[in-house]
Amino acid sequence: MTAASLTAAEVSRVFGKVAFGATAADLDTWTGKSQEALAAHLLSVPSQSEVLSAQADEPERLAITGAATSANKESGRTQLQVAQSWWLERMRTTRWPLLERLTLFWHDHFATGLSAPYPDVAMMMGQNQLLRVNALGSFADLVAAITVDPAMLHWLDGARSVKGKPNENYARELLELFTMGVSPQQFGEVDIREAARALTGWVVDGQRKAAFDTRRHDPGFKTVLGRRIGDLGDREHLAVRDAALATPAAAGFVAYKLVQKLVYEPGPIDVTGNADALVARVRNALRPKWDLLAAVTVILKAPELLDPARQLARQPVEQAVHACKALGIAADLATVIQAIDAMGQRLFDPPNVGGWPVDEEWISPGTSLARYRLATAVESEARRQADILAVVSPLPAAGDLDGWARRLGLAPFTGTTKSVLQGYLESSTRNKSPENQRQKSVMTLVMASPEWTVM
Amino acid sequence: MTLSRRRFLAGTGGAAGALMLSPWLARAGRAAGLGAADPALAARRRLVVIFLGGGNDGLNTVFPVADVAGAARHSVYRKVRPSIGYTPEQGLTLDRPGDVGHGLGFNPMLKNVHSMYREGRVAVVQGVDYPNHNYSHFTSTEIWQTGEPERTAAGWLGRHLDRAGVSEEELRAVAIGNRLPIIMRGEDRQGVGMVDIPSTKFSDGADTDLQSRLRHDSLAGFGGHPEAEALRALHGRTSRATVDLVRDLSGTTVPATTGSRVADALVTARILLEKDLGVEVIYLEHNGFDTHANQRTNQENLLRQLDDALAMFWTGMHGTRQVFEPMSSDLAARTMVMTFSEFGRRIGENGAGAGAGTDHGAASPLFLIGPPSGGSPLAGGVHGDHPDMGTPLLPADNLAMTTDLRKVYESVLTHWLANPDPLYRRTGTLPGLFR
Repeated sequence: MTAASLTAAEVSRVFGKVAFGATAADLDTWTGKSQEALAAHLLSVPSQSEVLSAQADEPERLAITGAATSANKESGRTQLQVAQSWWLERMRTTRWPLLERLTLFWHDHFATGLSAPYPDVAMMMGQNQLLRVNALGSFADLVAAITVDPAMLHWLDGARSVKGKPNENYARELLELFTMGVSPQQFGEVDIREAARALTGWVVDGQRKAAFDTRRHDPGFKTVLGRRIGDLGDREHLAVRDAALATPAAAGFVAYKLVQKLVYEPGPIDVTGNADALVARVRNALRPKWDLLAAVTVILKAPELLDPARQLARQPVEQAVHACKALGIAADLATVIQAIDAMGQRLFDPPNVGGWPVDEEWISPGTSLARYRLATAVESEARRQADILAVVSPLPAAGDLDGWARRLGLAPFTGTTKSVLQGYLESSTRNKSPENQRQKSVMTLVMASPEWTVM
Repeated sequence: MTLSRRRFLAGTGGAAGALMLSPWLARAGRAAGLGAADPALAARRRLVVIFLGGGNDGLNTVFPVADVAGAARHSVYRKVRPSIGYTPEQGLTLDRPGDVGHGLGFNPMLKNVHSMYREGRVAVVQGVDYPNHNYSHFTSTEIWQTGEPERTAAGWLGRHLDRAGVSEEELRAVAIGNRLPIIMRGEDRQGVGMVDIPSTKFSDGADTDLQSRLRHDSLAGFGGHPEAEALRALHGRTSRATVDLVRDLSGTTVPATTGSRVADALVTARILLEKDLGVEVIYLEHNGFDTHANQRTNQENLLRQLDDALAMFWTGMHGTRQVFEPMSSDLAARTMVMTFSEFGRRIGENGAGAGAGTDHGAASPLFLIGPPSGGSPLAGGVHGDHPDMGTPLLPADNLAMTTDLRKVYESVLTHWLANPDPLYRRTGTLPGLFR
């Protein structure tokens, strides 16, 4: 924990990693303040019930009400876009960006998708709410809730798993991807088979609610990770969860994921042995009570979060929301959603149960062109709305590079970014490019720069 | 998932990032006829690798249609797969004149693969896996993509680039899709990732527009980002490679979509191979094989799509639609397709009826499809032993490895790609796979 005051670069980095990027106002407010004060600000998230009530009727309000994936594809697509728009705008406008960032983290961690004949958009909205409500609560509660979440019961076939012929899909990912990791693997195939038996009996009823059907449940004794479990009915999934979370691997794995996705990739993972110093501190904060608030607090107060050498490639959604927020335009434009999709990220529809890529997997010519498309979509909307934006804060002139850095929530440009932008300004002057083209170019090139994507 | 590998690979871009000369200039010069056609390039063989993502059920891809001496495979199959199994009559037999008694049939969806098999173009390698099988999608995918079951390593095709002496400016390997998978990332060199040809263009207009060209030239300038910041440097190099790729592919005409993702990816592959850009290796994915439930319907759809796409790759015909001309005999003589999946599935089915599926398993067969017969170095037919399936009284739970995947890779690297320093000398090749 550093008592020193934050530089603009540090404010930009903290917001960039955990809060969908800074605005010019964020830079003004927090530059010169302490990391502790910024951490307290970001963590001032309302209590669970308040968050919940803000959203309880959201699917109905958005008319996301029907099963609509395989039977009615068109309506399903429309509903998916409505849900994506809703969440993107929520990310952009929320007073608690950290909470939305963590909801996205948990959506990635417990990656659940939509492919037919799996969950519908309404179920995914329900899961989204579950993730948000528990995002800073107890990880143990979160695992219990997600295990019997209707969308998850569909996605990983829990709702199809029945006594005598259990389906292992959820049991495997519960241990491998959600709680224990495999570096190194601390569970065996027998643990998965036994856990799958313990998880039989859950179905999704006609009201999209999870229900326990005793007749489908295998009541016999099972041994999961050395624990004997049996005849607990609809509480057996809690015993499986407890067995997983009691292993030494679990806290280290969850801590690693938090650091890896929010701060930087902390070197090789070893869930049994020595960990990166920050991972170890997050793990220790998690351990006694699986308290996610305590774990995230460690991250927000960590000097590692400020360290310019610890870099992370931001996800497409983070880049899009940041751009729109910083420029002052809506994030739910069709062109923005299409560009995020082309960059390889569809909210409510991750590529597979492993979630979205990390770091260099986001970086290829395919994603570069899609990022360029995002930049084009955002800058053309900003220029279209230039008159409106000017009322609050006009777009800087093309040549005002410090003004652009500030407007886009970045520290003043240095190094390659600065030389590329200056090189552009010179060649565009030579070629007598009009000011609107120069503005367009500067915005586009900033959003295509290494500094923008990798923070 | 071994999360450590990514960082390991991140810092390996080499000093080439500082190179300011655009590789596109070299390729453009070649395309414009400024350099003599490279005879090595013209003779170079091509490899298209298709990943069947999710774990393709090998036992329903090539299934036992009869018991054979010493192995009651069909009897076991019928017993353990009452819902999702096929009858012997549904199998497209692997027996050919002079090569009989396999007791195996292709899935009924694989009609085109079957007819290519009958022409002697398809090698079916049975029981492919690695020692100490891992049932995780992610770990097993990584092992298949690196060809290293026991250690952290870069991708096997990426390391092929490293060891074949490929220079930074060559466009030698392409991964189709919106991420660059580990298979294409070597220690020094890596492939280029692209989604498709129509989207490989800039959203603000082509280079013919001066204002756009100034931006694109500037974008390439990020390629000079210092290597000390590994991720940012990679981002910068990728920006430059992007500008080059767009320029390479500008003006390329592409047939309308086939409506099938895997067929569209193979359309992209064909075009890349036909444009003489030096592309040697192409990787693409056909995902959705994780059939824990509803296996019959889901796997049949996927295999039909694969079969139609493979036929189109050579004939140009996708179903009844002529997508493009048949592949030239010159290119066809130098082109091979290879499939793989991260694992097969378990012998027994879960659930019952139409909803039944299978859970994660171990070994499975893979296909190599070579040039039309006559001088093809690939030996069509069945290779390797079928894994033991147990007996009807005591069926095996899983199919164990009979062929180490590294032998297949070593064979492909040695006999098809002519790599001067192949990766798996210790494991050796699979005898007889190539002539």
